[in-house]
Amino acid sequence: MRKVISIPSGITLTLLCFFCFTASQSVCQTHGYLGKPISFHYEFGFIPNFFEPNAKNNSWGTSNLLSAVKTHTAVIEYQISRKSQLGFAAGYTKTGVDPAGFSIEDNPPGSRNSVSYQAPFQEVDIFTFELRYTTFDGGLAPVGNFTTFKIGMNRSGFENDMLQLQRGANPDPTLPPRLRYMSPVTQYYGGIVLGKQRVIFDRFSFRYGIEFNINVHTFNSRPIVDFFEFDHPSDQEVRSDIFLEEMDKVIKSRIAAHMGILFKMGIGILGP
Amino acid sequence: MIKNTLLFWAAWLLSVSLYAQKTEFNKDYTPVIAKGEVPEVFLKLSREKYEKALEKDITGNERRQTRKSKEEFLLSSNYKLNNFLLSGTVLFGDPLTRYVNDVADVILADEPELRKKLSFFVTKNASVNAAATHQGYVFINMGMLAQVQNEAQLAYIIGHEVAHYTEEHVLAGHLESTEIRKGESFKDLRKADKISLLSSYSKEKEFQADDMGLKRILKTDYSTEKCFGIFDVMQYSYLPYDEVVFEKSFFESGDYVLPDAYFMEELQGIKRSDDYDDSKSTHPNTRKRREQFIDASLDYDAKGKAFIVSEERFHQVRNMARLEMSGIYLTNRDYANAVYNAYLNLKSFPDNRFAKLCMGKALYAMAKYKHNDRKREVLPYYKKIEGNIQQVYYFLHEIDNKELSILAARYLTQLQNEYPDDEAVQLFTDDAIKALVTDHELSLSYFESEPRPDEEQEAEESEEDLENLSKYEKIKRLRKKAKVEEYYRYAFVGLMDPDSYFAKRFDYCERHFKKGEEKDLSQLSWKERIEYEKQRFTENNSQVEAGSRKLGIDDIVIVDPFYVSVDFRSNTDEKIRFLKSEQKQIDFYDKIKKSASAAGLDYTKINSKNLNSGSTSTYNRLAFLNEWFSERLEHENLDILLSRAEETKKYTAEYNTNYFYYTGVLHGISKKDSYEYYNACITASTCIGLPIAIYDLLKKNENTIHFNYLFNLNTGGALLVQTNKINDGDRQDILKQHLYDIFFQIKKEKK
Repeated sequence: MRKVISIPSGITLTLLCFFCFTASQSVCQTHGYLGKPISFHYEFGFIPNFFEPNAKNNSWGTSNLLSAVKTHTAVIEYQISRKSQLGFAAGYTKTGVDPAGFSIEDNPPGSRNSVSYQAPFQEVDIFTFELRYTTFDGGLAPVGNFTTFKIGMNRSGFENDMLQLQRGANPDPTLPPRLRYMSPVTQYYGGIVLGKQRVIFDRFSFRYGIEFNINVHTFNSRPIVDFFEFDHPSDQEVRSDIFLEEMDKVIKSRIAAHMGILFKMGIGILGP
Repeated sequence: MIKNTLLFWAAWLLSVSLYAQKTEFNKDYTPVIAKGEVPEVFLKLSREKYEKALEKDITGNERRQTRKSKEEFLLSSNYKLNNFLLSGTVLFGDPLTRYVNDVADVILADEPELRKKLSFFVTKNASVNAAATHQGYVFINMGMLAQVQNEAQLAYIIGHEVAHYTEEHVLAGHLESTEIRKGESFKDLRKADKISLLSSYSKEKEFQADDMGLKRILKTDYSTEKCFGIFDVMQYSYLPYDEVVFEKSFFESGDYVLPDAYFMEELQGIKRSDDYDDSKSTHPNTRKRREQFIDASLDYDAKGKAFIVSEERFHQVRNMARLEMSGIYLTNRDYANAVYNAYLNLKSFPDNRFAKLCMGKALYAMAKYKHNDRKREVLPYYKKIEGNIQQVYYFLHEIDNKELSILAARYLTQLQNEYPDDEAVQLFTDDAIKALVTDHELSLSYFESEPRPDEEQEAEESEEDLENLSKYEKIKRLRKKAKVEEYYRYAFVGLMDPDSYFAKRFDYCERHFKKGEEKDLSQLSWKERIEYEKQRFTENNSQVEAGSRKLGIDDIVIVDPFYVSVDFRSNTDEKIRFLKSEQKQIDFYDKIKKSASAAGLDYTKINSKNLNSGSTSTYNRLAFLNEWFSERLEHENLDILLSRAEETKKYTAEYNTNYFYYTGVLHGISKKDSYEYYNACITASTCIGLPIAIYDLLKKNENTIHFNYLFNLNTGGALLVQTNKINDGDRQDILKQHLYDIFFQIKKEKK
């Protein structure tokens, strides 16, 4: 089963055109910081993750209560007016999702009793692409307190390690390790960042802030790689399939939740 | 024989010099400026002065509290002294200051060491006052010099101020008031009682200074009797320097006769007693001071001299001060006093051009204020005014604004005819005539060019026959009478021939500035209409709120930027962080330099913190520009020539630009309000908001205001007025960016 995900590229294009138009209209007033209108930033963020306190090797300071998942973003911004900037950012986040509470009930051959297996911890890679519009309140771009409005897309892929799951269901070690379930997820989100930016030595910038995102739409994507059926009796296939779908939903919602609140700080260089 | 010859020549020389002075002031007067080398006190930073004062005044034996209080005082007084010295109001090396120093030499002849510690300056301040600082600087106001009756009185004033220095009254006053304020019962007192308590100590010091001033006088040949008159000077210091009837006829000639209704029949007398309630004053009342003076001087011979240094110089200096006062009143926008002071000047020197011009400027400015309905800002209500000057207040209050504009234009036109090549007179005359066209929409035909016919005068005289006339004859008569009452139509009789300056200028204004030539807006497209309105708005509104302007200016002068940092969290009375403010001011210059060069803007900076002993001309420029700026701000968006508008040409030529930029920063740190703590607690309670709550609690409540004004010095027009309110500290990146933004707007050319 294969499904091609259609991205509403029209919306993205319209927004791009709008921002380019705004930039071209405002360019006569653009002067940047002491004449440097472009800035490049590396942003490092961490996500306080209450959902997966034991996020293993993906996180900072894991405890039983909270883990902080790292995120990295590269940003390019251009000052389009005295108080605003337009920017594009690309980011990468590696996190983990524990779909706790979901299990598969299976009836191994020859067994009358169903066996329950806990779904394993999932590692998730999230790639983000976003457009940003930043305004500086009470100050002039690019210094002082700022508010960034952004729209973005995140594309996350996680491997539903069905092999492990299946091995749990049927502990036959000879089964081939080909039962992998790749589930890419595309989500759109809108966000707001409240932060502060400073410039030192007239060239290097430093920023910090808090980011709130909300997913505006979640695609109920299906796998784009081959989906291997369970090597089980047919009645189990349905049950496994349902299990996978349910688990997809849980993971997607948790990814969205992961990207909800981020603390971010960044360093950058102004130019040219 | 030789002795007699020498005496003769000495007398001749004296009379020649007196005559020369008299003739000099009869013709004209040039306002004084600082001369010679800049005194050292002007050149040192307040930090240096403070550190030196610490070494001198802090002994280490004091109580901790006293020491702290002393340090606060030394810091604050040195900072304020520096600001005052560099404000431009203090004169040095000029004839007035030299004379005051000479009198000080006489009174301190027996105390050479003390004399070395003291410096005397004259300040361009109209109030009848003098002051001494803890550091040994004595300032005599121009108002005091204009009013003292003889040199002995000036010597007494100097002696009084010297006593304040020798007895360390300023420091002692500060320590005492700090002590009183910290007293347990002080907080519970009513406000009036607090003032009374604080001022009682100050009065003791004044009595002591009076006493010591007198003792110093007694050591000299000055007459105590002549000194005694100083208490009259103090008692009536709120009045002008002379009491002369303000004649209605001063402005009149031919048919231009001002209505009697504009003049009071009876003036309010001078009521002030010398035994006024002084409970809330820092100084004792005059009667008590007189009594003390009499008691202390009774045993001494009343004989003595009124003048020791020079009577001639005294009169010369006083005349200069009296002439200066007209200029000071104009700058202070005290137009009634300026009119009366110029009137008094003209009584002494009827042909003095400076006094005449001051009179013209005062009438012109008052007319502008009246026309713009801002009379109350510059003209107090006449009923509380005492003395002959009340007539001036009443006249300016009662006269219609159009009539006052006509009077100003008439007076200045007459002046223009008298001084046809005088640029200053021409400048004000031109604008006064323009005001008739633009502000009052008058035409040349509105004014009569010929004197009133005799029949009209007869008609006026035969009013008693009115009852016997027919209805139509009565109407004709009334119309004629109305015309007669419009006396101001005859303002320019003899001044408006076709070739006259007035007629030509009027014609020019009608062609170039006349209102009413509005376009038919209905015929314009929407865009054209917006453009038209916008253009009109820009033309009419001289004060421009900036945002993203493109002025296309390549070269500006940056006038002494200021920087003040205030900490409202401080428990002391002084909230200004003096040393930090001074250091930040110096740093601010660097930021300006960097931002201007990044914007590619050429500039010349006038920096009060960078003077040296040879910078007298820079000091004088700074003095002028500071005075100009402070007056300009007071006028707000009024389309008016500033009182020293004629001098701007000199400065714009010197700097080769018309554009002068004033900037400054006010940085304040305030206490956190209780609601901010509540907010932080609520934020922290969400766990996730804990870092934000901690940040909020640690962060200081800072606000910064960055002022920017760019003026065309020649026209007085504001090209850019921008106040940046920054809800943050005075961070250098933010300030640099704001400065750069301003310079970018100044430099950027319209496409």
